[in-house]
Amino acid sequence: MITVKNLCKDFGEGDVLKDVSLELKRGTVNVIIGPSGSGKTTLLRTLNHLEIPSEGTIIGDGVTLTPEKKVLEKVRKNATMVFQGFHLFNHLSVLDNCTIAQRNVLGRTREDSEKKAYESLRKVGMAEFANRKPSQLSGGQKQRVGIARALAMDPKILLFDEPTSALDPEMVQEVLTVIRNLVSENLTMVLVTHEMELARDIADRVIFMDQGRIVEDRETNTIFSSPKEERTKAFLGQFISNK
Amino acid sequence: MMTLASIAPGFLEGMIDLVIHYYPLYLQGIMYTLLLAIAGTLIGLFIAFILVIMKIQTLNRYGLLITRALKWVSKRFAEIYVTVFRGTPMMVQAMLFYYGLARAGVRMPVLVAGLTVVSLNTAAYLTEILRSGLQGLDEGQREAAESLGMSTRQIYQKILFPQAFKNMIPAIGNELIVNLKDTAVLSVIGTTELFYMGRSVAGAHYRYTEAFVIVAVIYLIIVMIAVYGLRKLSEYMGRESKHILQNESGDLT
Repeated sequence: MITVKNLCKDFGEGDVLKDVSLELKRGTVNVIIGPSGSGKTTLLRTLNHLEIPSEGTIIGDGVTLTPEKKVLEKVRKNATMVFQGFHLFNHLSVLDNCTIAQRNVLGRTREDSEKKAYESLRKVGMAEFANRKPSQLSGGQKQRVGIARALAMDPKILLFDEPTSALDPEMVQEVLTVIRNLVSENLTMVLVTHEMELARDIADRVIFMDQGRIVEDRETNTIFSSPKEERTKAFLGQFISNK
Repeated sequence: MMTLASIAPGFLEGMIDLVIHYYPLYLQGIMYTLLLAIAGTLIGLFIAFILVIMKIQTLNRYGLLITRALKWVSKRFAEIYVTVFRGTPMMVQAMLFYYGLARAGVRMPVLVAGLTVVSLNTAAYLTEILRSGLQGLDEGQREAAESLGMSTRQIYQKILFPQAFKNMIPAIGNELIVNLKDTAVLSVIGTTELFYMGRSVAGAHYRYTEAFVIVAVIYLIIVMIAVYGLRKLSEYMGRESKHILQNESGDLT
């Protein structure tokens, strides 16, 4: 579904991504893990071109990503992102946050888009907050709305950029529960996260990154039970010993 | 020969006589001042929306050569525009605009010329206010809209401008208050706003102090009403009116 070939990204202070290649299959849940600064968020952001790669290609559904407007708008419609910092539109109600892109990008009527928005909000348990403003919500609630906003676009791919990292500890669970429930939707998901338990429970596949490279990319069970690389072992061991 | 009205020699009596005899001139001056300031601010705001879009374009190496060239030209134009209009006095701009056009053979009505100068001048200041308002927004707002597939135009129209504009209302109000007073400089090209009328009345009887005390009081009343109205507006918009209150005292000194 998505093929990433020889991707490099350079912000001008050394490479953040070095020759990353990757194949993401339709309907699978892919989790990217790795230490801070390993390039995992950058990789995720290049998938819908919030970052433009310095080199390499990304092919999604047979279409090669380029920074041209038409291509971008099409690609982004299919792959929507859930952000670490939520980034809800502050001036809009919860409901309008979930309808604005449907109306403007997909051309849905107000009625249809609201129906879809309520459907998505119900999935994340936020339907009764439809008329609130983002400023009246807790962090966990904001993130659930962020997920509903992405879902309402009927994306083929859902990208999560550390969705629970900015949350207070007591709010992490509600968001994780929502993400777990999404697995049954048969979406292709790519998650960057530090939640190892979540990775173990929902991922079909885990990609371990370090220093801008993919160190190990394997099925979930095998990577947790018998990691091949020393660095993976060390990284995972850190989490287990912390428990 | 026109016969001049007789004005009592005393200060207060003289002022009262001036008001009685010349109130139509003062009223017309008030009308013009209000028109210039209000219309000038609104037109300026409209122009500023266009200029700020030109100014904050990011130049990159993607896209057709012609679109990249247009981007570059429009961005530089907006930058130069803002620099020139903020870097020269409005009085000088008015002179250059009016007499420059006259030299080229275009005789523009002074009211139209005055309104044009206020609008163009205000646009430069509001462009900078808008720009800082837009850049003060969290970058995530744009990213979120981009990631949902919204076009650049939709992002500005539906996401960024509404938020920046709301934060800008006190600053726009401030610009209106500045304009209420600064349109006085348009008298140099003969626009018959309040200051011009004051000078006409003063000159008719060589009673400068009396005539301009009247002018000062009228300006003060107009500005106080404007400040009050803007405060109410900003309360109505559900925002704290701190900004306006602070700037008001700054302006009146």
